[in-house]
Amino acid sequence: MTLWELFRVLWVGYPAPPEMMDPAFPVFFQRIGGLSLTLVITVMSLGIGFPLGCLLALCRREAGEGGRRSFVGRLVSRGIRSAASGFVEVVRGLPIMLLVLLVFHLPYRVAQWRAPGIILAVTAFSFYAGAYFAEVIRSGFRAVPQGLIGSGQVLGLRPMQIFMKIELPLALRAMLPDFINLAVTVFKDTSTLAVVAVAELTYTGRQLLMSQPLNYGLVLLLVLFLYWAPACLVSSMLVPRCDGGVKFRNFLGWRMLSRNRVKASANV
Amino acid sequence: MSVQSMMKITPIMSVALVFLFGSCSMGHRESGPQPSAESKPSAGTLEIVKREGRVIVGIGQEAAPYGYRQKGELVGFDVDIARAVAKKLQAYAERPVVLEFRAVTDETRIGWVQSGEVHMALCHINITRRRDARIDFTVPYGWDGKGILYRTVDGKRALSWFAGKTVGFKRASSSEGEIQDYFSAQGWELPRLKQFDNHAAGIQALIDGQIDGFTDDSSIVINTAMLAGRKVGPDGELAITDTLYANAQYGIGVSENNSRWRDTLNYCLHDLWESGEFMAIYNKWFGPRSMCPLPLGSNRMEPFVKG
Repeated sequence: MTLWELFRVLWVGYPAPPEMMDPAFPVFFQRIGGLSLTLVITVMSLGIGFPLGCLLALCRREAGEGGRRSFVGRLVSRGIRSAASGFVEVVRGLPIMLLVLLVFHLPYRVAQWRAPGIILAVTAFSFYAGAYFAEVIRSGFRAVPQGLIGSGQVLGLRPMQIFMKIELPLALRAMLPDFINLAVTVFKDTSTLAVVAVAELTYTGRQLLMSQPLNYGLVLLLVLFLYWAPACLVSSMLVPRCDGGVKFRNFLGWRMLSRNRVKASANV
Repeated sequence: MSVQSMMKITPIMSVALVFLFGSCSMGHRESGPQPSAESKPSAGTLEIVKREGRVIVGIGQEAAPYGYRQKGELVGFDVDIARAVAKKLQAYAERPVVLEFRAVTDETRIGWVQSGEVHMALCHINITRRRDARIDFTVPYGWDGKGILYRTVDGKRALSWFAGKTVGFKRASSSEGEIQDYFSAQGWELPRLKQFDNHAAGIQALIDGQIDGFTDDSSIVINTAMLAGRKVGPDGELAITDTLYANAQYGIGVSENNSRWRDTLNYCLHDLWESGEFMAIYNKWFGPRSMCPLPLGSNRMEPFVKG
């Protein structure tokens, strides 16, 4: 087996046997494997996780505020806020492996629903990404100094204007490096899916080692390289471009911001 | 603890409790005797298979020669047996039955059978009493034993040599308990056990000298080593101990208290044995011309009398 063939197997994975195909779902998702599947799961999870994270952050930030609501209104908003915090804290508190096992187990237990592995995998990692996105977004908004918002109010800006012109641009800059960190983390953590036999890169590597006279160290190095290269590429190419965020931090002084940043990144 | 932090923790606790109790009560319903829901495994998997016209089989993909990739194809003894059993099943279900595979790993094979996610599992599952407490097994369809693989550089080794030595085993296999039971029954010092994520990693660690021996079902260990390009045998680079510390019988895993389904699968296996298809499959993987011959010896299936 040449090096090229080895790369090919690690890139597309092994073909699923015909008995594994579920006609109810797109063939493409069931046929791919290896690094391409890892990337698809990462991209889809981040794509679903980001809106989910925004929603959760919004629930935790907005609900419960505003003093002039009725008792029921306050109760509902408090409920929404608690549910969002509960979700975020539960997902962040679970080891990713346990989250994966739960997501693979519960749909059948609860609804007798057998979904292909990739859909469950994307679900699990969307939850994961969503919870962490929510925290990153929340800490990003908290990093915006209250003084700037206050001066916006003094200038007579409407709340929406304050949000769009002051809070969002500043918060986004503070969040950007954490977003990239999260993307890299999700990409690497998909390796836990090998335990539930999703044919991503780690699982493909394991199957490869079980079936061919190959140099164990070489295959291990290749798999490592395939995890490392995209992660490194993303963080080395994208992070310098977010120096807007870094400049912003320097401008505000590290101490004030780093407190928030440590809080967010300690869990990422 | 301040009131504020208490307030913060309460919703988290409540959600966690809902999670916990939710799964507990669900577990209870599953094993309880209520015959309400039709697609629960307790309703009889045979009926489900008859109604849906498909059988869902958990299949292992990471252990030669039971289920592994050969030139990209999923092949193996378990795979062939699963396909043959599914074909025989059509006679008992009285309709065409579509075979569907779900990939399982050693970690999930028992749990998924238990929950009914797969109707049956063929993933080189050793029949053990501990596992039998959680799921049921058909009659054995494969036989093997467990020895310890070692490097032949320093000569031949007997089992007793491994007392106090470092021995690797595959995670989520039954070897861990069995080797300890055997060694303590012999009155030998227990080997220091080291867990590996997959067989290939364990064998590599053995070759590197990180461990003194590696153990699991002999057929898997030998085949994996040979697929990795190693020569196994008295004159090879690696060898397996002559004495075995445990027997291994492979059974198809089915959910508990699912008698008709288990009977049906037993009959399918018996049919395969009587028609000679079983031996054809067995010889393909363990016969004299296979990579690692494993003679049946006195092991045999004993089909029930029809009538």
